Amino acid sequence: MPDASDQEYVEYVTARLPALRRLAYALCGDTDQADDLVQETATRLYLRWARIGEVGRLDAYVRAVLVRHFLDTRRRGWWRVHLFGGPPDVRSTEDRGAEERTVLRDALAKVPPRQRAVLVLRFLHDLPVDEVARTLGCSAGTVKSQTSHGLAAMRRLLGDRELAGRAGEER
Amino acid sequence: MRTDDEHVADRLRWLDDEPAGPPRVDLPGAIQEARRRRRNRRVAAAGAVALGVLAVAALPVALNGDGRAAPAPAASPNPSVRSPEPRPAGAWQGVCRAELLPVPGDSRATVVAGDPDGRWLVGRRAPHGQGRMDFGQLIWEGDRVREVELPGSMQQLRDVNRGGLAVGSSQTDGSGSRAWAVHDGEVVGLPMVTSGGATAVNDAGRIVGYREVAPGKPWLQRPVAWDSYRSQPVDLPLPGQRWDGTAVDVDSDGTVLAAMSDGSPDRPTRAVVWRPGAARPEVLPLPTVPGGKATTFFPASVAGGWVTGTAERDATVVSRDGLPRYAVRIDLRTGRAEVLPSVRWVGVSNGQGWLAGTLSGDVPGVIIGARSVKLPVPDGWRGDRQGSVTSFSDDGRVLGGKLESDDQVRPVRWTCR
Repeated sequence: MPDASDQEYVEYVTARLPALRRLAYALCGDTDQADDLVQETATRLYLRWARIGEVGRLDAYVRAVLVRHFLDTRRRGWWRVHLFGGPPDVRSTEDRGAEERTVLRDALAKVPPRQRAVLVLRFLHDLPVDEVARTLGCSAGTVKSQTSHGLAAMRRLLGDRELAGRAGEER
Repeated sequence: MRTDDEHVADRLRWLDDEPAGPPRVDLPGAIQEARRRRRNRRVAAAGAVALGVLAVAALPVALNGDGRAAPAPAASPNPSVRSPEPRPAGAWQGVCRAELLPVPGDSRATVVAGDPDGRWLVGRRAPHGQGRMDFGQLIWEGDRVREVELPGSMQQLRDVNRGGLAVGSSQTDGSGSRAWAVHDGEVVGLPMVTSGGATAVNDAGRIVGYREVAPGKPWLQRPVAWDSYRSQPVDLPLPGQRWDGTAVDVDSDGTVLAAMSDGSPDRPTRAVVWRPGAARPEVLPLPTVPGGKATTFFPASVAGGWVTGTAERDATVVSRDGLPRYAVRIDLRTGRAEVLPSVRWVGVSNGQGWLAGTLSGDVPGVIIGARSVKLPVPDGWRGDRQGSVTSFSDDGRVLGGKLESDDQVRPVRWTCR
């Protein structure tokens, strides 16, 4: 039975939907799975809705729910979370720079999930290290080392001559 | 940051686009699902299963103290005359080996539950079909495997007893869920007035689960019990008028365990037990966890008088996995509750109060007292040692579960001495 609290919930999630889908899409690289991630996040948020008071922390909280759920699904797969099926398929976007994005998204999808989450939160969502650490529930030091590993993995995966050359110089 | 790192980071920012097409996020659906989950936290919290019953001969059980014995299903042999599989004698040493269980065709599958001897294991395959909602069921007896199709979608066998009687549920089109029993490959719909599901069965053939109270409101459930798979379900008496929830397990002596809350969907989940012969259910006290009293307790299983489950305590700082969570074991004989250390996910307990599940690092393992034992991978297994345990025999010698690696998940049996 909808009540005032439900209405607030629906309004909040509706307003946050584009941002949540962007985050989910960046993490998993697949439209369907992105919507599954958001759907599950919305469900979990509702479970806690009555107990979430400070709206200032709400965005960070919802982001944390989504990212952790993403990491859970990558660790557990369908046998724990039925919404997900096989491995992520990487689809191209159809606008300008589509090819570049496809290559990037493809590479990002191959970075281990936790490093991927760190990269997405730090560089797509411009969150400071401390905030990323809070989101993932780990130390700032771990975020820094995961960033470094994630970027190294991206460099390797992109196989871009220019980048490979630079990386090679430092070895 | 190195120059090339900055370059990669810069390029990553190009990816901040919304997925094409309209969102198919369904908020009323999310609300409904959240409400349903409050009732069914057992599944949500442990990703798990109905489980274990106890390794002693089944006792006659009275539901409301009327002294009426629960008949065992005709198809289910009397467990007291079954001689158990030969097992190594002596103290449990915690030396285990793993073997992959046979699966016809696509090998991706997982064990969901087992009987107290570890002879029978039930599980399910990777989903297929539209929306990947169709789950083929598997029943192993020793090394033999049988495939079973349950009607509907989201099929899951949740428990099996020593007689090989398995119970579970599935979603049916439009009309909610259905409860099923499977014996000797034959699928039988459990008698049911409204929609509902079966979550556990003991060796006497008593089945427990839930029925949905009102059509279209799957989150409103009531715990029910069937004396046998041919009996009509009986509503279990509620702790209070507004309580709702589902039975999650039944002990060998007939004690029923349920996850319930007091009316409002925002009230925390509690453990409720019906002891054989008792006139009224008992709501178990919330256990004490680090920092104070738990705010909620999701019961997972009852075996040998031990209730195990997951306690949560509300906190302002949310950890990596949400609220701090603790594996808790409650002795129904004394009421004493204790937090079991080093368990990441509560999997299953056996009749001795031993717990198996997932330890840190997602490694499957066993907790016996203060001791934790990591379970091995089979010879030739490549990849991580990640997985979980969902079946634990009463003698501690046979465990069922799964191992995961990349896109693979395989059903596993561990045998220990």
